[in-house]
Amino acid sequence: MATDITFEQVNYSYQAGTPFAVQALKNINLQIKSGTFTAVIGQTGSGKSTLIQHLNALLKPSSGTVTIGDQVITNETNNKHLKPLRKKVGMVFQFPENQLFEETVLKDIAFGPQNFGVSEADANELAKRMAGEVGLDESLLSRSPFDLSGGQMRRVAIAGVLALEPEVLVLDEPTAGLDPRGRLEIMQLVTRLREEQGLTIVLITHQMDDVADYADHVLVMGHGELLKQGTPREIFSDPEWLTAHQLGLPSATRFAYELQQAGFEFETMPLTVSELADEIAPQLGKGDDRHE
Amino acid sequence: MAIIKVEHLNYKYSNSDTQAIDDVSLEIQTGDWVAIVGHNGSGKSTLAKLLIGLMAADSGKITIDDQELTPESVWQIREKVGMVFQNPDNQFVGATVADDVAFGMENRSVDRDTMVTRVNHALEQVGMLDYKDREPANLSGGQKQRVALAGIIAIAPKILILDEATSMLDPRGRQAILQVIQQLKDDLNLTVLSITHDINEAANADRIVVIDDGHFVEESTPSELFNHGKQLVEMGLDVPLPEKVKDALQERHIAVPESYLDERGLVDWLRTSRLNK
Amino acid sequence: MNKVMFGRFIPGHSWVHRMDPRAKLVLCFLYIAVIFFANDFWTYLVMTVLLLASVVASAIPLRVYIHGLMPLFWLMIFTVLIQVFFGAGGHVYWQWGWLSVTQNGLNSAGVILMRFVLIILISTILTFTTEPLEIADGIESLLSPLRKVHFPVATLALMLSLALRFVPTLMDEAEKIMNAQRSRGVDFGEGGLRQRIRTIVPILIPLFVNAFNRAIEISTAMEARGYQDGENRTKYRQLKWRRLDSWSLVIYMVGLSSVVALRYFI
Repeated sequence: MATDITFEQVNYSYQAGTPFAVQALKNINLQIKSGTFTAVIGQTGSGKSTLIQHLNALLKPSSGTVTIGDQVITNETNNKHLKPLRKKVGMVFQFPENQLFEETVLKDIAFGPQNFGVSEADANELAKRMAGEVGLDESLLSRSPFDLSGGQMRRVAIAGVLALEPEVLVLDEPTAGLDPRGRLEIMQLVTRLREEQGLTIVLITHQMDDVADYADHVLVMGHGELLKQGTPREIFSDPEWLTAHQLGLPSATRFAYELQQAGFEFETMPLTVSELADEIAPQLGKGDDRHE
Repeated sequence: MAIIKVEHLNYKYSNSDTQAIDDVSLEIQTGDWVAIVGHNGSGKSTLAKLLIGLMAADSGKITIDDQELTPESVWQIREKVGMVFQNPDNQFVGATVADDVAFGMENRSVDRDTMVTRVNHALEQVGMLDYKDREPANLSGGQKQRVALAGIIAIAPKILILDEATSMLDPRGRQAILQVIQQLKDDLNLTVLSITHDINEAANADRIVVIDDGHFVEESTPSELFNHGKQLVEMGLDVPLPEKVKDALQERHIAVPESYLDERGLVDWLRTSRLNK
Repeated sequence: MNKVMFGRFIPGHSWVHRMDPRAKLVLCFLYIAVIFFANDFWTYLVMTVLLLASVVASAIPLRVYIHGLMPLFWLMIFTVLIQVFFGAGGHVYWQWGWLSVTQNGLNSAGVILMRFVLIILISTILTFTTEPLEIADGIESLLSPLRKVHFPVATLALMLSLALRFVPTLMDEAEKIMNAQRSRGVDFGEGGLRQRIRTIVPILIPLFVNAFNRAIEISTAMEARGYQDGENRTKYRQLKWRRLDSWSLVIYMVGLSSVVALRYFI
């Protein structure tokens, strides 16, 4: 049941074969191992969204192959055979609350599974479970999704994707527009899904702190190309390269560089606040005599 | 002198049981940058809309630049206020960049020659002159927000209200907008009221007002407020990095100063602490 | 995705592209009116020459125009067949039951086809060479005398321009929603009519809700920017009538009046 994802020499052009053709992906080769947390970073317009739309064949490569588990997608793949893949790979798009349409929250969450042949009764059971999973109160299930707050609507939309019981969960900036508490709750949910259910996570994000805190693999996109891939530590070890590509550092790493200027020494550059504290604590006086 | 004065303001949405704004009073001084923070649904945006009469308060009094907000004065008050909203797309009404910048002036019956000059000037200020004839579909969110700011420069208001104007932008777009706003504030001596979740935007402010469930909670300087540490999340703000670092050090049994330090201040304190080891 | 050429704008800098939209609208309107005066070979010849000259002046290849006619191909065939079989009078060439092909039938079929093609092509020249927004400006300007009778010309023009402004935004939105619902297992364009109607609901409702919310936000933003009523505003966009517009007018007037003259005086 491992669902490794492999891209081999994937090219994609919008409006291929017309004078308006734009090449959005150029010779992409990558692998996403089952059960990992992959972050996709890059500027707006770098090809991140085009890339993830290949993960459940919303787009098919103009050339090259995408392999997801045992399913191979090429330009010739027939649209009729995509359904099992759509169930396997759940997609949470930007501002997913825009996809809600049913009369009640329960019906909306149960909509997806029913499209894949799950009976209404089973889908409703699944919906209730997923609503709990994303932290929606049971009293909301009979309400219209359009009466909920923005943050609640987003969780309904995410529950609707989780109800497909996917093996891979792809999220495109799932925290955009939320307040810090809402952002934290969504990220905690994603981490829990991965740890408890072994979901493979692919996350598009602009938040480098989230990359440092949660990801174990990073893909850096730029102008339709995969510029770099590696662990967060590898990616964030070259601040000049990141700046040149208009990407930032995690705040703890940025702060560590400032401390380096002030005389602190780092064996490895820290990515998180706790790593930072581990490195600098031994270099500090206990301070008990100066402070109480 | 207070350019914005709010006294005992109340507002309730007709489809809700609770007060969206509950007896809020506050004053904002001319030339200040004031941030209003609070978690989603705390009533911040409602307050902004009430201020320029986009919704009518149930009770209470609003005075802008010595003029009380009434149904008669509302248009005069809007002349003095420029407002940037959250969604870049839903405030771009012109067919092209230049048309959008001109929209506010058209409403004020500015003559065409003046409009042409001011459109060019305003676009130059926000670095969008090269995009003058572009259509909104070809612009990024950050560029659209810069155009919205140009539209405000063109009408030269006294007050700028930002209603989560940077929340839908990526970090670069956000930073660019904040720079433009800082510049404008200095050049035009604007009073800025920004409703925000962004810690950097709040840190730019002279004062921060915290609102929760429609109540006024407190008003303080950024460093006083950031001293709240983890409670900030409940107020709709991130915990600033220096507070996080201090927390982590404390867990490792290192005594840290209690008062808020900004990044610069924390670097200095750490450097001294290291040398005193 | 966008295979429909009809009504699409093709950017360019040709004579026709540079013309004032008012001139183009007026000429297009006059041309269509005069088509109904054309009644024989010579008058249609003049109309065709005028049209082809305009096509050349637009610097867009004729085949692109022909391509633009294609979506209407079946409608044309249908109209022509109706005329052929049901037009009565004159010499009967063929008869079967109540169907007959007569001389008059063939004649009127030819006339209808000619008018059809000419009208479509002249309006296609207008839409190929003029941005929708310019057309809106042109209409506003041409209708402006109606302000005297308190007809809200400027308000209507602003509504039209806002609608045009949000067409790409809503198309984008529709595509995003479709992708989201596809990911939730909806198969678009599959199954019978009933199935298809069912798949439209998860698109239409979010799109409608979204458009509605947008409309509210846009109107709030417009009000915040000082928009009170449509009529007492100055205008940033201005139309310029140039010499090439006057020349176009002269050329068309010569052509079109000769058609009228051929019909009535010769």
